[in-house]
Formats: sequence, C-alpha cells, structure tokens
Amino acid sequence: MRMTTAVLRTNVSTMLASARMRLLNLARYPGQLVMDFIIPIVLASMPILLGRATAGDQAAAVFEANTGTGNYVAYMIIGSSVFSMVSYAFWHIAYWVRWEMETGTLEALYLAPTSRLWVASGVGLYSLVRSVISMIVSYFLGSWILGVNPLQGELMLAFVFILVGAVPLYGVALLFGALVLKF
Amino acid sequence: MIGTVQAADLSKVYQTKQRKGLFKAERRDVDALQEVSLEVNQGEIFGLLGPNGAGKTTLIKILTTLLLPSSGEAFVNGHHIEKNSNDVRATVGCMLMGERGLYWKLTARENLVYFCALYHLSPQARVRRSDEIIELLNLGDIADRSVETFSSGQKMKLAFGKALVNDAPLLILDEPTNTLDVPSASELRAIVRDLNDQGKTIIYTTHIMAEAETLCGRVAIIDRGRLLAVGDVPELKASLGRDQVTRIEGVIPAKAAEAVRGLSMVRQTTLSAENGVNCLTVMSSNGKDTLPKLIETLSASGAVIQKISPEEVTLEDVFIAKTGRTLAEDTRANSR
Repeated sequence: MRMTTAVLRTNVSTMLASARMRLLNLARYPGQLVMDFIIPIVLASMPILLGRATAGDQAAAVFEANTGTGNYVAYMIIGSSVFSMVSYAFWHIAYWVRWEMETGTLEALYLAPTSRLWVASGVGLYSLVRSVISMIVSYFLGSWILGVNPLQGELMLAFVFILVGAVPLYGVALLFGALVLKF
Repeated sequence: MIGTVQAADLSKVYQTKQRKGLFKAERRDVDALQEVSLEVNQGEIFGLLGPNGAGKTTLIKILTTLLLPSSGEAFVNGHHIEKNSNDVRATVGCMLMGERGLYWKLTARENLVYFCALYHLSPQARVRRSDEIIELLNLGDIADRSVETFSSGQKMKLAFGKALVNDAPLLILDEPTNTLDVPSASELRAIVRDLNDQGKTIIYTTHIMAEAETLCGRVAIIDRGRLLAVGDVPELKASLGRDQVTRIEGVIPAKAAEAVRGLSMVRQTTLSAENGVNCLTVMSSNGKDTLPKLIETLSASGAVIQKISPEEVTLEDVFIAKTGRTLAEDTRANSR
C-alpha cells in the first residue's frame, strides 16, 4: 500500500488506539503501577547503601573521582531507571505477544485489516510512555527518599540520551517479540 | 463478488510434535482439512456442521486468512485469501473462539471502540458504531463495566458484537451460541436472522444439529477434515432415500446392537448412552417390516426394550448416515 497522507493518518490513529488501549488496561492494575515506581528505587538502593557502608564519608569524593559526578545517588537512580526501561521494553513487548496469544486477542488482531507493524508500534509507544513516567516518578521519589537534590547536574542531557537510545532499543525488543511469537 | 465464498480443494496439514521425554520429540502430520471445495452464495445462512475437531475452525481460519492452506485456494467476497488478504479481512466480520479474544480489564464499550480502530474507523465513527452495536445487542446496562465481571453469555454477546464492528457483508460465526443459556441463544439466533434479512451472508458453524436445522438454508457436513455432504436441509434429509429411523431405548448390550447390524435390511446402527439409558438408532430400508425382526433380534440378544419410537429424519440422522457415529458421541470423544 502506498503511504499517502491519509494512509499515514489512519496508521498513526491505529497506533495511538493500540497504545491508549494498553494504557487503559494498565490503569486497571494500580498495584502494577506502584511496582513500576518502586522497582528502580529498590534496584538503586542496594548499591547506594552498599557504597555508603563501605566507603563512609568519602563515598561521594571517590565516586566523583571515577565518574565525574559526586551525586552518586542520582547517578545510580538514573542507572537503575535505564536498566528498568531496557528490561520493560523486552518484557512489555515479548510478554504482550505471549499474553495476547494466550487470551485469544492476538487472533482478533490478526483478523483486522490493519498493519501489524503499526499495532506493534503502538505497543512500543505504550511501553515507552509507561517507562518514562515510571522513570520520572522513580527518580524524584528515590531522590526524596535518599535525601539528594534531584535537579542538579545535566539532567535534561541524560534524558535526551535515554530517549535517543529508546529507538534502537524498541527495534530490538520488537524483534525479540517476533522470536517469542515464532517459538 | 460481495457476500460470497468459493473454496476449491482446500487442504491443511498441521505438523505436531509428540513429546518423548525431556528433549526428544517426534513430528507427526495431521490432516486437518482434506480437499474441501464449497461455495457460499450471497445472502444465505450457510451452516458448517461437524463435531469438535472436524476441521470447521481450520476451514474458517483459512477463509479469514488466519491460516495458510497447505494446498488449494479460496476467494472470499471476490478476493483471493492469500493474494488480497487485507481486502478479505476488511470485508469479513468474524467471531472465533467465543468469549476469548476480548480484553477483560476493559469495558464492553472500550473493547468495541478499540476493535473499531483496528478496522480504520475514525474516532467519531468508532464511538457511533460501538453505540449502535451496544443497542443492537441490548448491552446498554453493562456497556461500561469491565468484561471480567460479565457472565459467560454476556461475554459471548460482546464477542458477537465485535464481529459487527466493520459492518461486513459476510459474517463468519464459529459456534456463537456456545455457553449461552436457551433464551440468550434464541435471542442471538434472532439477531443473526435479522442481519441475514438485511442482506448479510452468514457462515454459521455449530455442532448442534437442531440449531442448524432451524437457522440455515444450506449446510455442509464436515468430519475428520473431509466434506461429506453439502446441500439444502430438506435435500440432505431426502438423500437418505426411503430410509426410516427407529430409536430404541433400554438396556442394550453391545452384542445386541451387533446382532441388529447384521440384519439385511438394516443400513446403519448407532449405540449411544444418554442419561444412563442406552439408545440404539437404527436406519433401515423399510421401518415397518423391519420392526418385528428388530424386536426379536434384540430380545434374543438379551436387550431390555423400554421404548421404541419411529422418528422423522433429522440432520443428526444425516450425520449418522454419513459418518456412522452420533454427533454427541463424537463431540464427547474429541473433547476428552
């Protein structure tokens, strides 16, 4: 099919409907949302507390000497959030495919004359929105819990890097989803 | 042509794995469909009859482009199922797998709006179409409740509604009254009839012969992947010739049924058990003449006869004549 403006508009509309439906579905599981916010904090807390316990007062200085920033708490929370985002990208997409297969909704999707790529893009968009929201909430919540200023350093630059990295990440995740579907 | 199906020599072979221990598996070919050819005409209700595992769903999945045939070809609404699969999907409304295929955490309305989006309806049209379906199926009271809170019947109704989102000229309904109670099944059949009156062609699969008899104009009997018969319901019944069907209830040992089968005028017998009572169905070339001999043979073989009733030929009898088994018996065996 030629990609005219009308076709593109239709496909984008399908993608948005696909993402919206999954976000609606997620909203019906509030416990899952809370877990999304908590997991990166728990992941970051373990090395942070371990570092404090072993390096004591010099922890920030030693960390700055090695990484260029003394704010190791924010550094670790951003790191764990990125880890969560990568993990979610694979889980959301691979699990989505498997889950839809088991519930029978994948067949319903295949019965429709819509592009599977755009539906999958909708799932990618859903996963990205979910990950970014959980990353932002986790970052500010974790900073507050661990007592650091969240607004110092090149925060926006880190965010831009993460978003640029999301494009190939979701490409690989979709490929992984295709493998799950195949096997 | 819109509202029609032409299938020629459709076959489907599945490869299954027979697990042998931890890692070993033996591949096996299963012929799910064997050279099925049929035509469905515009504006008719066409019944696909057969027990579970007969190949009905495989045939439907091929016609709706979910499966590729191993050989053969088909046209749905004038579109080739492999070359123009998107056109086929756009012009078919399909209900497969009953209440599965719905998002249980979403409401009925949210489900319908989402499925409308998959058929490229504009946001305004999605809402409008969903409202129409909710009204048609009388789902207004529960439209904004999560599907997980629905009864089985309500889920089936919604799954049926999902098949209507694109207002397609051809509806393919795979056992839509499964799990419905009697009034709901009857209500759904009435809606199917109304849709047919509006000009929609309907392919209706069922293993309930009485349902097919009341609803369908033409039927195809399919069993073990083979198409055994196609025709109008009266035509199929007439195809049994002057055969008469006699049902005998009581305590009927297998050897008695065997003895009856040996009688020259008996064409076919089927022994089944219903509610603890044996039921022997006998098809013979001349019922009246056969009856005394039948009673004599059964009594001599130790059978205790409780009831004998000559019956009109039904589609079930046509199925028995074609397969040598009752549908209920076959459905039970396949679901084990």
